Amino acid sequence: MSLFWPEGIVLLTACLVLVGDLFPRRVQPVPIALAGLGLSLLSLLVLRSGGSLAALAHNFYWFDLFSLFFKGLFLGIGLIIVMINIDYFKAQVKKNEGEFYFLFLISLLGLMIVVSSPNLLLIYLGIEIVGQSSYLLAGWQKNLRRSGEAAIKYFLFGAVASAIFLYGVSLFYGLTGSFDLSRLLVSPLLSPLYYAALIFMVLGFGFKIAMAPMQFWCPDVYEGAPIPITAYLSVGPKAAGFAVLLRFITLARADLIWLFALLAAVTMTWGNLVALRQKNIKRLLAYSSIAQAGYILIGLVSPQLGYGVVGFYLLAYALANLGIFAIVIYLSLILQSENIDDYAGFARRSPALAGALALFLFSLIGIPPLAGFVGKFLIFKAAVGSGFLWLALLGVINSVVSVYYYLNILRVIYFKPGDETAINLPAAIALAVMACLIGTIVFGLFPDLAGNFFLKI
Amino acid sequence: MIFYFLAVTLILSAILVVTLKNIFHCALFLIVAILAIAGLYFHLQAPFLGVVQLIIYIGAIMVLILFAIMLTSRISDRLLQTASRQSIPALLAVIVFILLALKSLDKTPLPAHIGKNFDPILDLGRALMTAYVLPFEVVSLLLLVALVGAIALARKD
Amino acid sequence: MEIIVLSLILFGIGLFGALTRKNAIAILMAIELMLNAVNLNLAYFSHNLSNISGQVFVLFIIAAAAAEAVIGLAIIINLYREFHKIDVEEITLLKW
Repeated sequence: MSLFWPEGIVLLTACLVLVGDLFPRRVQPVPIALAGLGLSLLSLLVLRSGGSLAALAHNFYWFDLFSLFFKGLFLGIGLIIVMINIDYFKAQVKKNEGEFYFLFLISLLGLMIVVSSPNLLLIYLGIEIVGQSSYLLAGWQKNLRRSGEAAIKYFLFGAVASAIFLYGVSLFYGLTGSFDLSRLLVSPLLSPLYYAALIFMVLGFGFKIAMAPMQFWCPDVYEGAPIPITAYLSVGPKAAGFAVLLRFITLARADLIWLFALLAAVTMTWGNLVALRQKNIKRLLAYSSIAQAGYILIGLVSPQLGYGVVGFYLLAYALANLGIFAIVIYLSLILQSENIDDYAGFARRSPALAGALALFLFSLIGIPPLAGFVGKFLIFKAAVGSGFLWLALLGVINSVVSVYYYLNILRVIYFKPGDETAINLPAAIALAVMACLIGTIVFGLFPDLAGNFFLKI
Repeated sequence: MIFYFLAVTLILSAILVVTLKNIFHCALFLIVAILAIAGLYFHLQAPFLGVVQLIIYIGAIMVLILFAIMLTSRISDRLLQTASRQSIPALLAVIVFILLALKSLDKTPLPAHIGKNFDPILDLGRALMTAYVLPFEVVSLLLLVALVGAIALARKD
Repeated sequence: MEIIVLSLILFGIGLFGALTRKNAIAILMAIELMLNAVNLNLAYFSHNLSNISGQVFVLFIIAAAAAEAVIGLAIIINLYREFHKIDVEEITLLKW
């Protein structure tokens, strides 16, 4: 029972935040949420050092290194999102704060459920919790038209995607008589209908990770949603989608390698090419996140390496992306604009933040010695190792293309003249940027730190 | 015999749901389709599912959809009409999809019917309270999310 | 066997509706058809395999579909109240 502590603490925190809103003297949700997430992360670390691994609740819930790593990642993401949300929420959203944090925490809990279960029923329920709370959060700025539109587009796409996923599940059940993926370790089945079932399920998850051909919702939703929620969508559900795909590959023993190679090639090329002509920073980051999903998909073509490579890349990507989004939130608060051209002169106004932004962008490009470089190196090496030289080369070409639009941001903030009055920085955002920056540099220089503790690279 | 009657009703009403212009009529035919599926559940010896289908789908979801239609379209107004887009490419894509699926279905031997004795309602209740107790708790979270979120979003500030 | 074909056709019809409809509520109804096709499949396999877990899954899908309808309609009603539009093509503020 003690293995459920991290989830239990998050659930309790969510309920406290919701109920705290009702008292005549309002209890502030932010400190409770931060304390709860921190406590949960702490209990996770304690459990990790305890080292006991187990299958719980009639094999519905696995407590293994894999789920521990992802749960830790989600809790870290949650802490950073809450920090970068504080000032944005006060300035832009304002309404229904208790419910907002409640849904956000429950959504994190859903992510933790998704990565812990080998059973398709619980995976489905977790995905629904994550999905439905994110549809609502995307539409939270009720009086803003683009927020409502983002919510409805996200909702309709998401509902169709989960129906497609479920159709795959139903075929899977018809063939195996079970929803338990781990049953397949005993007797792998390789009939055409089985492949059809797997393809349906992969397409359903492709929605969460914004993989081609299920990526069309991504730019619109990213642009319309409140920025902290955009930041969350670009790392949280994406990582969970990859976690489930990894479970599929390692448990279902399906020969889907060619499918993943193809999807990776299409996804990263499409994302990078469309990103080249974006003017709005949120749309640019949406296409960049599609391209990054393509790189991560490359990691899935060598399942014998386990989850370490993909896990490390997700960690590096999450750190860099959250850092960038923290700075974007700050910029949108002071400039009231999300156009890249309006960022002119930012390097003079705040050299430290501009430098941090440059490092995050370098990490996304994959320049040593940052974490993103190690991630990309490991993924391309794995692809070459399993005979996909063309895919690795395509990945390198794509990374070179991406340099253009990432560096374009830096060109505007460093070399274009603009307003140069110095500005002050909210403490919470500064702290979040600092945390992401330290992570990006430390995991770049000493990848073994993450490797030894959670991953087995 | 009863199976073919239900199947034909289901397919016809489903086609009407996705093609009719008047969205209110679409909703009424969706109710017919759901009734036909409830009948199929009884036919498949899943009486509990049939009852749940009637209570939740027709009693809750369809009433909700009808309310939403009433709230968002003025009756006897042009707004009630709903159009379609890109019908032909979508139709072709869906037909190709169905043919491909039929082909792979044809090539795959499905497990044969096992005539094991089982009491659907008793087994269902047992399964929900023993092996499936964790998902049972988790689905309550989902309903809580829907409750809290829908109220927060739909109320006027 | 006939039921699998039936549910496949039903799923196809729902998918067609979800791709072609413009009104958000009409798309939601098409999605309900897709979910019902899935449920039919599961109920049939459960009967065929004499295995109860398929029926249990159907119950969970129905519960999740109810939650989904609630959330979708809340989003739609909020959008309609503020902007009087629920056709997805008229919602053009955000471009592809």
